[in-house]
Amino acid sequence: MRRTSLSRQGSSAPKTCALITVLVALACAAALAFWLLAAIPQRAADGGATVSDYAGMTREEIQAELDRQVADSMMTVTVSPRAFVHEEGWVELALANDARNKVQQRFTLVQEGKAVYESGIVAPGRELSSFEVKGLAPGKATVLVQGVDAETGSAAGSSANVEIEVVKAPDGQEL
Amino acid sequence: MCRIAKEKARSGIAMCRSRRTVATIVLAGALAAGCAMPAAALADDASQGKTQVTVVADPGQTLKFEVPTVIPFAASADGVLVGPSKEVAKITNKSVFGIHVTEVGVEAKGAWNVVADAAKAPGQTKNAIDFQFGPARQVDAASALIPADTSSDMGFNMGYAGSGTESVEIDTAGNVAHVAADLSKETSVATIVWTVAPGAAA
Repeated sequence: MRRTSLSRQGSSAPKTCALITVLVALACAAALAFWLLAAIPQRAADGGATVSDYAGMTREEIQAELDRQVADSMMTVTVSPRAFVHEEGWVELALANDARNKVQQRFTLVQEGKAVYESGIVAPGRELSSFEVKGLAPGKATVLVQGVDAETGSAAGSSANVEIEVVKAPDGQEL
Repeated sequence: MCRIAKEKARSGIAMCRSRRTVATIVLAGALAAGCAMPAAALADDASQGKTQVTVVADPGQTLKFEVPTVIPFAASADGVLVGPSKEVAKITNKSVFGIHVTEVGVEAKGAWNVVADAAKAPGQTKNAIDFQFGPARQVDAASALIPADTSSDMGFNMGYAGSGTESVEIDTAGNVAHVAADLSKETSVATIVWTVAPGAAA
């Protein structure tokens, strides 16, 4: 029995050492991750023009981080320059969210300072081609394209506008 | 407000089926009455016909461009702002026709005050920031609080995709003063809204 108890004590020591090693490694990894995250300013969710002090970073590191943020924020805007209005109130106007965009988009059609149409959320790779609009007249209009964060649903960065021309669709033209 | 009544889901970008041609060439004009006359008669006729040729972009083609939605600044201890490289922060035209920026608008966010000169802002003006941007830093953010008209600024012209002139670089500079905000966290100070239209600056 004593021999058995001595055997049991001898087999548990390596397992204990292994467990301690794993725990120490996990602790080190967590500390490293915390340090890395703390060194880089957290991205402001709504973007636009932002400011931070980037304390602890060299000039080169700061420049690289600024450039990376800009590159990561790029958004492609795809809008037809002309909208066709049908008598029944239907409008033909291509509004597309490029498949390579990292954000969803929302489109708002504005004429003479009044929003006459707002789309729902358009995911990357999807488009709108025709929709019903009330109060849109031939002439100038603007399409507001706003990036939307897929996780939070809030605005992602500054929006971009496109000036378009609204014309009356030729008679008999089908959608 | 109106709601979407119809939506077509497709992968990639699709064109209107009825308008797929790249350009429409319109011929108009008058030919001399002697078009049906013998050549000898034409030689004797001093009248000349003029043919007007115009080209318009097919409205089925979409206006497409890439734009940065974030312009980050790093604030140094003396208040000077460092912006992104202008080679990276640029608007790029991806259309088959030229486009240009007609207007730029700035709107301050949160507790930030966009001013003409942060260093000269009175002490009670907390979180004062001034910044300039554009191909030649010609847009002053404070002035753009009322959207700046850039429709006649040729610096904001972009040629068609692949022309070599399809991009407009955004060079930046600025300052902050009387900062009460915590800059250890990236803070949104303003939105910058670009308005783009087909064609070139007039």
